[in-house]
Amino acid sequence: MTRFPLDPPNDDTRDECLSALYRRGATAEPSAHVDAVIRAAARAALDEGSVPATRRHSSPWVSWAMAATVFLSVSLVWLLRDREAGDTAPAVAERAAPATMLAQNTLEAVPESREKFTATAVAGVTPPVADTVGQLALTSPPSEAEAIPPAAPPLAKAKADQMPTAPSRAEKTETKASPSLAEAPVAAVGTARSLEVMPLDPVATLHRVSADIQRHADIAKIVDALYQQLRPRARITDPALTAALVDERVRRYVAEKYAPALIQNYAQIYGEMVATKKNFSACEHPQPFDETADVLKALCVIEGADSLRVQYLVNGYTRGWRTTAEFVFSADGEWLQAIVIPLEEGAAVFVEGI
Amino acid sequence: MQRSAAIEDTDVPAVVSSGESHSDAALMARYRDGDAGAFDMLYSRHRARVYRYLLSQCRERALADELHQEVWLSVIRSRASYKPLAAFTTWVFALARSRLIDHHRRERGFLRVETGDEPGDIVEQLIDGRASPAEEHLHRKRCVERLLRAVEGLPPAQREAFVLQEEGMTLAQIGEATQTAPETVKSRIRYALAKLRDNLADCL
Repeated sequence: MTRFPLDPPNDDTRDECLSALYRRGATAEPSAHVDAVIRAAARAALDEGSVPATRRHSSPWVSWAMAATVFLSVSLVWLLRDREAGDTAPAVAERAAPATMLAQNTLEAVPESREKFTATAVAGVTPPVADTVGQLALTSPPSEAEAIPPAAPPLAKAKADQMPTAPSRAEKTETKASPSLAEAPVAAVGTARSLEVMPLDPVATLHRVSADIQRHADIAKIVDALYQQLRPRARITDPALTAALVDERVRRYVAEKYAPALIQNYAQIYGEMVATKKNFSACEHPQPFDETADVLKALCVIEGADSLRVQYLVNGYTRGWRTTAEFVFSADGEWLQAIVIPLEEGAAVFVEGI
Repeated sequence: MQRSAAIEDTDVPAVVSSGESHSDAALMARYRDGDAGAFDMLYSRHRARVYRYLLSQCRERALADELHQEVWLSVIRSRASYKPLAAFTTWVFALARSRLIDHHRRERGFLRVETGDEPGDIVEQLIDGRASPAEEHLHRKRCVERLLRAVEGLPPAQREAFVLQEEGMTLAQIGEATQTAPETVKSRIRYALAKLRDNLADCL
């Protein structure tokens, strides 16, 4: 088994010496009892005589019904699209329902059980929660690997009322969002200038905004929006803490840890991907800058009709690629419109009007 | 000879040479149709590798037993809906991985990066007392132990990729089972091998 120094392995993903050692050592097997249980279960399943599911579904009527359903669905979609295409400017006013209403609906769908304030959703940062927030019972960040976005509270009506009415293009943006973010509100605020600007090169625009993301992100507004949503999630375990003190600590946590980390991590991943010459357009197959890491991270860009969406993706050990946050820029790459942080239930924390 | 079936047989030579009627997919089909012996064959073919994968990831024999049963009960329950869209091994390892993830989520919310556990136990379990005690093999046995400990010390993703490959899966199959790009799998294995070689330089 001795390998000579000048005798390279044929396949760099194989090492016969190591394999031989492994085969010699890894001889554990399930016990005879476990084997017997499984084999008995296999026989018992047959004895039950249940009709296999594939046979139940093999009826031609089922196939016809499924085909008809698909056909009708497609037809309906086309009809609706044609109808919508026929709509012109006057329809804009009708459809200009505030994005906040949608946001409210979405956020109210968050189960009450999600009451824990999850400390940070930002990979790469594990702030010392105790130091910062004191007696607040904040769920500590699970790990860099599987950081969860903060849970969204039901949006208070007062907050909803304060939110600006989104123009119709915000609604359009939303309908074009990726499936995972379909329910995530993407609010747009600003002038109509971006309506006329179509992105010529999404990747070039991505580079323009990302190279100096700090300049494009209004941290104060991000902090404020995050605070509004995270504050109700703070669970107070120390009754001696006054509401004012809790307010102050949550705000400090968001301001000092969460919001800066959101931007810093974006910048870091962007920088690493540029340095390692990764493709920013490969949303189907994201290209992490470090393929050997336990947690893979990547950015990818999606061109929208009037916006540029940059997805911040992580692939932890257990779940495959997931969108941790989506940064929505104006198509001309001049301003950051929104940050959308999808939650597991399909709702989202969102930061708008940046 | 190129295999015509979409399903790749395992790397067990006797099975490969016995033709398509004994392919994994064919055995599943026969089992679905009521042939209990087909399941026995299928189970015998894959039981050890699935078990070792589970054990290497969960590091606890009792838990591996439990998860192993869950995996195969899933196979039994899925006999009617099973479609040979991928290799059986890919499917069954994906099931195993899914059970591991479920377990760890129940336990701690997420699959943990192990720290502070005692690798000695798992080494004993993996070796299972079968290594030869003869003196001339003592060095080899120690190398085996060290290898298994070194595997234990790998980061979870690298350990998983290494073990799955050693249990006979191709890079593509590993990628499919773990929902990871084959290039990523390859990188993980390369890093794993580099670390193992460093640890076992005097054994190689």
